[in-house]
Amino acid sequence: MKDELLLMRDIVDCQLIDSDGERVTKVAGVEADLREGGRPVVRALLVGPEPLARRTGPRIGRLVEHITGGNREVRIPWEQVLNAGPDVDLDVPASATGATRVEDWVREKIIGKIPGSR
Amino acid sequence: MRKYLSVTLGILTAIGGYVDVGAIATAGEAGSKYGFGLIWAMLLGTVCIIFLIEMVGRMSAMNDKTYMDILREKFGIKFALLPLASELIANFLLLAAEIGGAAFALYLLTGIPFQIWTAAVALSLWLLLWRGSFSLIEDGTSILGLVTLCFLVASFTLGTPWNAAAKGVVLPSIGSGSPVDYFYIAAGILGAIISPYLLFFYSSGSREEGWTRKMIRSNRIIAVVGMGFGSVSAISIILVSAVALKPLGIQVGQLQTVALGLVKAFGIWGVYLFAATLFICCFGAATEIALALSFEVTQIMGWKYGEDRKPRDAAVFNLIFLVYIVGSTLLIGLTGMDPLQLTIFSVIFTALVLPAVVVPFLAVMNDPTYLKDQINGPFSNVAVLLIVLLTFVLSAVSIPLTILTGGG
Amino acid sequence: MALPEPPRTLLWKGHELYPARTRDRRIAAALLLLSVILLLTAGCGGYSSQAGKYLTEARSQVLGSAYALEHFGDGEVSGPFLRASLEQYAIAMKSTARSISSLEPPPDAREEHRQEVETVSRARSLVQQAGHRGIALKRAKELAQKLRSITQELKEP
Repeated sequence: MKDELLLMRDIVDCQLIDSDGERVTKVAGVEADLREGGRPVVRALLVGPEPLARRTGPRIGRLVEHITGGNREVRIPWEQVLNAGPDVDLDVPASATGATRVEDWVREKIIGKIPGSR
Repeated sequence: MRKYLSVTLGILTAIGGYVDVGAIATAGEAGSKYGFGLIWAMLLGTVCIIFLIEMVGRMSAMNDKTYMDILREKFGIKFALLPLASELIANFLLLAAEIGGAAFALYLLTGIPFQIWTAAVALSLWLLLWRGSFSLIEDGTSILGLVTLCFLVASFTLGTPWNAAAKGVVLPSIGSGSPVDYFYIAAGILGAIISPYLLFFYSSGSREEGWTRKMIRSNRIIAVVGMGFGSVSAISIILVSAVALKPLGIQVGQLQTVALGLVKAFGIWGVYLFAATLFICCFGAATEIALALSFEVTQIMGWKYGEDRKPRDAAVFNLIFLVYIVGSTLLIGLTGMDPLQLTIFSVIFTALVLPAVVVPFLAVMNDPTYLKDQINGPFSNVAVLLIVLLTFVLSAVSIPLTILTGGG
Repeated sequence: MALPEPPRTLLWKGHELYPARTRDRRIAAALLLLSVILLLTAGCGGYSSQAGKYLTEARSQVLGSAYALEHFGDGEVSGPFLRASLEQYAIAMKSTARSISSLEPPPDAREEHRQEVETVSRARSLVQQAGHRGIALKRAKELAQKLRSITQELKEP
C-alpha cells in the first residue's frame, strides 16, 4: 500500500480490480469513522447505485433510494484492499464482494437465456 | 504485423464514424448546392478529428484505460455523466438513422419496402455483435468499406476540374445561396465529423487490441490514414455531386439523388455501387455506434466489457447493444422517420455537449499519471485549445442555425 | 458512520471550481438567452425567400425524377431503383407542396402561389404513378420530358 493516499484521487471513482485481475466496478463512495480531533478513518468502500446517486446529488440520491428500496449499498471492507491509486486492487474475487449484482442478474435472467451466449 | 493490421482499426473507425448516412447526404447536399465551396469544412473537421483520435489512441496505449474510464476516474462521476447522458440520447437517434440508411440501400436495390429491411438489418447487426469477434467486425467493415472509393474514381471519371476544386478550398464562395444555409451545412459537416462516439470507440478498440506504448507511432499513422481515408471518401462525394448534379440544377435533398452522380459516372453500375456504399457505410457505422454505447456504459460504471468475451462473461455489455438495437429499430421502423432528420437531431444533441467531451483533453493529455512520458507537446496543446474553441462555437450556433434554416 | 454529506459544490476531484449557486445562475442565464434567440428567430425569412427555398427543392425533386427516368430509358438505371426513387421523390414532393401551400403570399403573389402548388402536385402525381405502377422503358423518356417542361413552370418568384 502506498504511503499517502488521497481519497478523491486514489479511491473514489477509481476502478476496483479483483484478485483475478478482472474489473468489478468503480468505487462509489467510502464509509469512514469520524474521530474527534483526528482524521477520518476509512472503514470500507461503498459501491452500488445508492452511494453513487447520493454523491451525484442529494435529490438524485433520494430518488434512487426510493426506487431501489434502500438496500442497494454494498460494503467492501478496507481489509480486502491490497492497493489503491490509480486502481484499487482487492484481495478477493469479484464473486466474494457482493458488488456484481447487476452483472449477475443480467447474465442469469437475460443474456444466459439467449442462444449462443457461451 | 499487428501494427499494420491495426490500420484496419483506423479505417473501420473512419468508415463507421466518418462516412455514414449523414455524411453521404450532407456531402451530396454540399456539393450540389455550393460546388467546391464547402470542402474546407471537411478538411477542417478532418484535421481536428485526426488530432483527437491520435490523442485518444495515445492515451489508451500508455495505460490500460479508455477515455470513458479516465473521464470518471479523473473528473468524477458528476462530470462524466454529462457526456454519457448526451451519448445515450444522441447515439440512440444516430443508430436509428444508420439502420434506416442501411435499410434504405436495400430498398433502393430491391424495391422491397424499407420497413421490412430495418428488421433484417437489425437482426444481422445484432447477430454480428453477439457472436462476432472484434477483428471480424473491424476487418470485415474495412475491406468492404473500400467500395466507398467508387466516389473517388467517379470524381476522376467525371472530369473534376482540379484547379477549380483547389480554388474552391482556398477561396470558398457561397455563390447565390443563403449564408445561413451555407454555415448550417458547414456546422453539420463539422459536428458530424467530430463525433464523441468515434473517440470512445477508438479508445475502446485500442484496448480490445491490447495496445501498448509500442503502438504510439503506429497510432499516429492510423489516425492520419484512417481519418484521411474517410475524408477523401467524403470529399469525393462532394466532388461528384458538384460536377454531376450542380450543373443540372439538381440539389440533393434525398439520399437517392446522390446515386445519380454515380449513374452519370458509371452507368448501370452506378446504382449498385451506391447501394453497396450506402449499405456498408451505414452498417459499419451502426456496429460502431452500438458497440460504443456498450463500451461507454460499462466503462463509466467500471464493469466488464469486451466484444471478444463470451456474452456470459460480459453480460451488461451485451445487453446494452441488444436493447439499443431493438429500440432504434423500433424508432425507425415504426415511425419511418427520415434518417437525415434523425441525424440532424443527433448532431444537435452532440454539438451542445461537445465542449464537455473535448475540454478534458487539455487536462488529461498533460497528466503524466496517465500519459507518463508521452504528454502533449506545446504544438498539440495549442491544437487542442483551438479545437476546444471550435466546439464552443459549434455548440453555440447549432440550435440557432437549425431554427433559422427551418431544419435544413 | 458514513461521511457527512459533501457541500453542494461542483467538485473536480476535490478541487472546488465554483459554488453551485453560481453554476445554477449561469445555467439559467444561458437558457434565458437561448429562449430569447429562439423567439427572435422563429418565423424568420420573408415569403419570397421561403418560397424560393421550397421551389428549388421541388425543382430538384422533379429534375431528379426526370434524370432517373431518362437513364432508366437508356438502361443505365435498374427497375427497382427507379421505382424506389420515384416513390421517395413523390413523398418529398408531397411534403414540399404542403410547405409551399402553408405559406401566406402577399396579395400580388397569390395567383402565382396557387399555380406553384398546383404544378408541384401535378408533378407529384405523375411521379407517384410511375413509381407505384412502374413504367415501360419506351415511355420513360416521354415522362422525363414532361417533367422537365413542368420544371420550367417552377421559376423563382
